[in-house]
Amino acid sequence: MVHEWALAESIATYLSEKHGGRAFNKIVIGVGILQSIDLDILDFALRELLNQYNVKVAKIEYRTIEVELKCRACGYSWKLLPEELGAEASEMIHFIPEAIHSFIKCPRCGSRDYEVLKGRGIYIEEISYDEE
Amino acid sequence: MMRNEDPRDNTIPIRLKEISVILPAVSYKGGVGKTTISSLLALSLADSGASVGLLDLDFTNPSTHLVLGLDLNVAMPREDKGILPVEVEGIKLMTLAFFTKNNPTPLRGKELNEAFKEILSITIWGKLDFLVIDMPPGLSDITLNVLRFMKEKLYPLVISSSSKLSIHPTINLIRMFSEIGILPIALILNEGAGSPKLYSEILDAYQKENIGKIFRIERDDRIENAYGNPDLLRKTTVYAALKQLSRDLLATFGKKS
Ligand SMILES: [Zn+2]
Repeated sequence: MVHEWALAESIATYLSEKHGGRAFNKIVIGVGILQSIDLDILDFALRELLNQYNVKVAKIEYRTIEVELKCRACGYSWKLLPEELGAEASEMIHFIPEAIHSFIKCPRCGSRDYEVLKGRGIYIEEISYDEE
Repeated sequence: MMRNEDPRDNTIPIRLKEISVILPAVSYKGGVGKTTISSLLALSLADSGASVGLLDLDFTNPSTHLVLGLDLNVAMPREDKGILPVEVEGIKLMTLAFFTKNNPTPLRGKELNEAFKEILSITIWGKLDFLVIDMPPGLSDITLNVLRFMKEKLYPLVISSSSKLSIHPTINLIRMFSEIGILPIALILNEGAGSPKLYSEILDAYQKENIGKIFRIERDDRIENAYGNPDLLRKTTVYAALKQLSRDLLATFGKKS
């Protein structure tokens, strides 16, 4: 799943363009488990790309985030484990997390109108650097 | 220290960097033939030798793959440091349908926005002379995102049905674009079951506006049977009209890749 590379590239170009030239003490990356991202591949790609863009980061931390869903139709909230998704759904959601609405329904009322409260994709949770 | 940044905002312009011209097919309402026109414009541009992408942003009802006859059971984008569009008839196609298959996929504004950013930040288009976009109708989150991320390269193709009720909202749509400095490249009047008198009345109204070229597409009953079959699509009046538009576009912008 080389898709991790594109996600890593987003983070690397973001750090290089938006905060160019800095040395970072630490970045924390939130990784929602819905997208079944391979952390080893993501980490490998990110270090490779940070090197390429000449961005120095002393420490990279990953925080995995559980998937929480809330039905907009009946109000039911539930947690979803990636293992509960079939192989096809899992692959499609890996590419585009919103594809979840085509494969999963609310377990209580059957609606596809629910919100992914937590655990959707990856984002930068924290960036720290010394103020000049 | 900064928190909760979305790095995709930064990646989207990088992914679009090698695209010369972006042509979104827009209309104020659905059912005016946007999907057919955007698919056939991409086809005629590709037939003319341009490198062309087709992006289906009508997320709740993606159907450009149906027009071009692409089987979702077979077609799936490949991964290579991102995802590569699927080639069909020389067009690089990207659609949410690859991932939702034929399942119903109701998405609200928040989800439409997420799906937009995800697709745009991971699709590797490479060099393109033209990216044609099948847009959802009217002004949605998607339209606003297209304006936000693609404004510099944007040349909308405005599509109007042949109803008097189309005139005012279509003119408003055109004015809204021109207010922010975007001039439509062309207006297409998609003729239905009306009379020549009605068409000229509608055309008169549009000719008073500051629009690029105006094209008429005559009603063609062959189109229903041609869906899914590119060879039959090439024999329709829609294709013929869009071939003319393609020549104009190539003359205006040239081929860069
Ligand atoms: Zn429910």
